Amino acid sequence: MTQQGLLIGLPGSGKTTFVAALWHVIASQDVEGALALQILEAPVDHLNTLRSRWLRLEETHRTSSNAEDITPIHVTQGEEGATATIVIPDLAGESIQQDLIDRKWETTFAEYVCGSTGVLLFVHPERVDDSWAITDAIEIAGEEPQVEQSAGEESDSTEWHPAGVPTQVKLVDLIQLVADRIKRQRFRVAVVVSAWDLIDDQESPSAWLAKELPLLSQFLLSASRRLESRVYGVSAQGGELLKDGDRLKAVIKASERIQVVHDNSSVSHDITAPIRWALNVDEEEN
Amino acid sequence: MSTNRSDEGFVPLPSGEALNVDEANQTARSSVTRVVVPAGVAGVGKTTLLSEIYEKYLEGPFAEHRFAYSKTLLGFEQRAHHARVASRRLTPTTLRTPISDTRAFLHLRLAPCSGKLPPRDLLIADWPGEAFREMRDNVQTTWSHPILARADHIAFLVDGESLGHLESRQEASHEADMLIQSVLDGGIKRAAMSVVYTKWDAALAGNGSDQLDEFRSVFEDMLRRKHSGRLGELRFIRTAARPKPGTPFNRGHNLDEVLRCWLGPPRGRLLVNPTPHGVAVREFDNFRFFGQGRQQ
Repeated sequence: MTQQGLLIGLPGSGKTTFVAALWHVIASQDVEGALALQILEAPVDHLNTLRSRWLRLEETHRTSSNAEDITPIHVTQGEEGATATIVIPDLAGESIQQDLIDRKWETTFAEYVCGSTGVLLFVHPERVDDSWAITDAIEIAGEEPQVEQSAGEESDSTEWHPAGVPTQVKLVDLIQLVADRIKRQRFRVAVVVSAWDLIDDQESPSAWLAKELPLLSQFLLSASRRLESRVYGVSAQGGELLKDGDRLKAVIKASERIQVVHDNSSVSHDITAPIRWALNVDEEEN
Repeated sequence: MSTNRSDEGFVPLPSGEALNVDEANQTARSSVTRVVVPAGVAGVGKTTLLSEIYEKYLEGPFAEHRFAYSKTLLGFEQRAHHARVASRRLTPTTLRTPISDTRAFLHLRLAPCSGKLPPRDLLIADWPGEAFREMRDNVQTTWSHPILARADHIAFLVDGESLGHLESRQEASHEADMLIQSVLDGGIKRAAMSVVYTKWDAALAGNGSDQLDEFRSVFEDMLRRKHSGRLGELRFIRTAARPKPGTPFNRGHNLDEVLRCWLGPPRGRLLVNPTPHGVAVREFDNFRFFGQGRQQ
């Protein structure tokens, strides 16, 4: 049976770098316990292009519209592990965000969502737009409160637009829409906090999510009848390309650049772990 | 739920805006839903109260509940915008709810943090103040709002800023009393009711602040004396949803208490006809509104 993964996130949330590193691990088969390539049956040119850039320590932008092609990948886990076919299209964050504004999905995307077996929701820790209250800003600035004016009296004020909605509201909106449409009675959502190396605190990914995106965290906890969730911290590059370039180049096995953290687990290089869990490829995993 | 026009090759998505009456009806039918009507004249702070309750959930669990779902995320966002830095305003405000706005119901699903009880849906009416001015002045107007008969909770909002000023306190208390009188005389018996003082930070800053406690006490005694037979237990809650900086209140002061009230049970069963002579119906029917009320 084909396990259909839905990788979604807003622009710049780290999906493409994740896919590049994921394809490297699957194809190189050098991470113990990770999903491994069983056999090639379909063109994987865009995956190879992404992987090459990732190996060269270049930014892994989405390549072309072909990147949305759905390529089935036949994988296996371990020497005696079960086989599975996964599809993990690299959907453009820009399209996903625009669809939230236009309030419509392409029919093909809606159908893909409907048939998905698990979801990976990407968040970049440095691309979180907050909803800062004016009163809080005044309080922090320590300025005297100004005479209240009615709406419209401040000439520089902006009208509301859905593009300006805080990141966590967009993500909840998105995951609500997915949950409303996905056919499975119950499904899994793996939240991938990308660029995890940027997080200074030694907190767990779940704790980070509850602190930085509390609405999303509450939603995932409350929707336990409909979905099961986990939060992973993933550094697909292993560091910042400019700052850590020399260190990253010195790593002998490129897979070991990758860092994956899940609550109550040590750091691993298995970037397939979120996929395996979300798609239920390995039911034995805790 | 409404959707945008469907273009060829596209599937329309729910708008995310506030719900109209039909959509609210559908929501009320599909789950056990608490219907709440914050009632008060224009400028009393109804929309600000709702916006700040929503803002609390953007910060984390609130009033022992977690956010679980909302059909009206963008409706909340629209209402919250002018109080945020992103609006580029120097002072926070809330746009008046337009009289013509037919999308007037906000939806929240909240799950108890304890996990022992299932999530509960809240449908909150964000009606323009003019609707309540009409109700206050003409009892028959209440009959054209079937949702009042379906409501589980009606919160009468009293402008604290007006109560704190010698020039405006008499009128503010009179307006609230007459609105309560009109709603009760309109035959509304099912809903639990509360009086919510808004802008309590401004009440304390008014030129009548030294008499505020005494004035409030007289006002509350009057309401109890006049309406206790029909109101049942009436709770009074002092709130400061968006207090001015420098006042002794945090944002959302006492909104947790307001929300707990709203999540509580109504006083009685639903009445088919929102007149003093209505009759009780099956429990199942408690989960829907009625017919063709005015779409406010």
